[in-house]
Amino acid sequence: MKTSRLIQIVAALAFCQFHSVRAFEGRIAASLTRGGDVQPLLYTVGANYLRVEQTRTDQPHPRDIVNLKTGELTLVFPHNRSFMRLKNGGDSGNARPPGGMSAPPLMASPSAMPAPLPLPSPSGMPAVPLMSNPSAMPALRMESLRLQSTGETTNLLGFACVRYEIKQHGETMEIWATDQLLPFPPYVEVPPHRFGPRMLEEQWGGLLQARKLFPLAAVLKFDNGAERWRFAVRLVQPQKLTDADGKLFLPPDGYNEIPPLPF
Amino acid sequence: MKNLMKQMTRCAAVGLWLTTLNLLPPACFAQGQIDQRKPISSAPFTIRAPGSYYLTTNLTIRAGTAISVNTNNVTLDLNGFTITSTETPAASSVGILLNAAVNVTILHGFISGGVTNNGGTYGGSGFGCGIYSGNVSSPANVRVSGVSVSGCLNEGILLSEQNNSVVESCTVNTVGYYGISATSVSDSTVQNCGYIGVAAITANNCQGYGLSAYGVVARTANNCYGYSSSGHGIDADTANNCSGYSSIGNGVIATTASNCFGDNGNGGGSGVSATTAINCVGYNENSNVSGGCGIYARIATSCYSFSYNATAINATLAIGCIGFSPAGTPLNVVQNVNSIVSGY
Repeated sequence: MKTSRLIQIVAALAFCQFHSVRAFEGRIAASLTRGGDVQPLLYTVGANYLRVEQTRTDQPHPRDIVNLKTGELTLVFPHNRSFMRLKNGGDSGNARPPGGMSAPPLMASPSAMPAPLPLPSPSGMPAVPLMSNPSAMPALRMESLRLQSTGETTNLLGFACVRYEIKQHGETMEIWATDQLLPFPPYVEVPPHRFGPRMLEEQWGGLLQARKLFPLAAVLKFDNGAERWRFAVRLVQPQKLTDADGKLFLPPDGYNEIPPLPF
Repeated sequence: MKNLMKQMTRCAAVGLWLTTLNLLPPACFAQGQIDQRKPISSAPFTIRAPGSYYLTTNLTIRAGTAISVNTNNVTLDLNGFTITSTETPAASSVGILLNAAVNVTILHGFISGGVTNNGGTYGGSGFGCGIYSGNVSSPANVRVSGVSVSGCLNEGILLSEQNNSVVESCTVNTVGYYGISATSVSDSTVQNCGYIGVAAITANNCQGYGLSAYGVVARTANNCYGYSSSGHGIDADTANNCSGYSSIGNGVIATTASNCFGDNGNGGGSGVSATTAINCVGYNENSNVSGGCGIYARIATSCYSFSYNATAINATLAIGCIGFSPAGTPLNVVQNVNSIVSGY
């Protein structure tokens, strides 16, 4: 009897937890800092749709509208009154092999490498030495990019958070994330680039989303301690959204749909 | 009589040769001797039969498409004339539309709208798109050469990347979305583009300016320059002899970057970000913030990098490199082979 009661309580708690995750509706204000650039971000979360936008007005910035059921992302471009639909949600993280590098990870044999050319010497700088001993180069293996819990916990803005880390060669992202909001939709300003290696900050959103986590704070630092990127939530405001004309999650009237990039 | 016949035969042969090369002026064709080209003197105009066409005057449309190519095997010579749109505001009008056409060549002329960039917002009257393939996966063997496009709300020259399309010696200026997209883009320049400057499988000798996304995106980029404000200057699998600048992103981001120069202006990204960087120079300019780095690579070989306040070279393996940082970290590497730290 006691066991049955316990199971009921656990089930009820689990339902509440699930319900609270699914039912979050309201606004989340955050900021993303990259070098000297600070993007103030506003997440407007409805029952079925989500809107992410920058609130600064220096120039027209793209805004994201995400269908929370299908994952379809609509990128709205105020700068030329257009919008684009991306079925895969803008590929927020894991379309490429993990590790942040899309290329064959192993070093080509030295003989296959183009012969290094002497670099022009910038004024006042010594000339760059040529590679002295190619055979000394070891083969380097791909690092797999993983979201690793450290077990540490804290409370941020009223939400229980767990500390996670993502490591990629020479740098570490530290994340405080909660499972009490919604799966994190990273702000997609431009579709992911195609060819070069993917940076850690281009993949963290997908890793969090897969674990249904929302970050309240994250910082990316080189192993020498230098910080190069920071995300911080400033305000979480649960509220029932009013959308009388039904346009909150639609591209504005008169905008032209343009085809997705052939990426 | 015999001589006359000989002369006429010679003339026809020369004419045929010149026709092949598109060198014979329209006036010669007008004499009706060997002219196979069909004149276009008004718009809208739809090409329904294969052959060679040429403009005889400037064309203007108020909306819709100026010239539609609805058939295969077409050469369209703009003949130095200009196609203009007065659609207000610019929305969906198109200069030249390729409707699933194969074997099309477009030559020598101008497509001009009045769209302007006002503080990052593109608007005004003009074209939605300059040259556009209606179904981006269909057109094959399309070549655009010597065409200048300007003042479009969306795309300048948008062709299929996958089906053997070539853009050469073209310029695009002031378009809100895409500058040029094709399988191969060479000797072309895109300026003042709102999103992506040049997108191609192979880009040679190109310059791309993409304000909010990428300057040049290509599987292989040779001798290219790319500029972007928030995206990346050059994004490539292989970047050779390229130069890229980005304010927030990476100047050059590539799987393999050889002999490249990359500059990150505001500290958020890197000058050069690559799996393998060879003989590259990376700059991370911002002296007020510590983010970003000059060269960010898995393997950096014979590279030089400068970062005033952050990390000059961040690499798993650095071979024969020089890192220089007056107030930051010159070298942050796991394994160092003959790399040195430079002072003033």
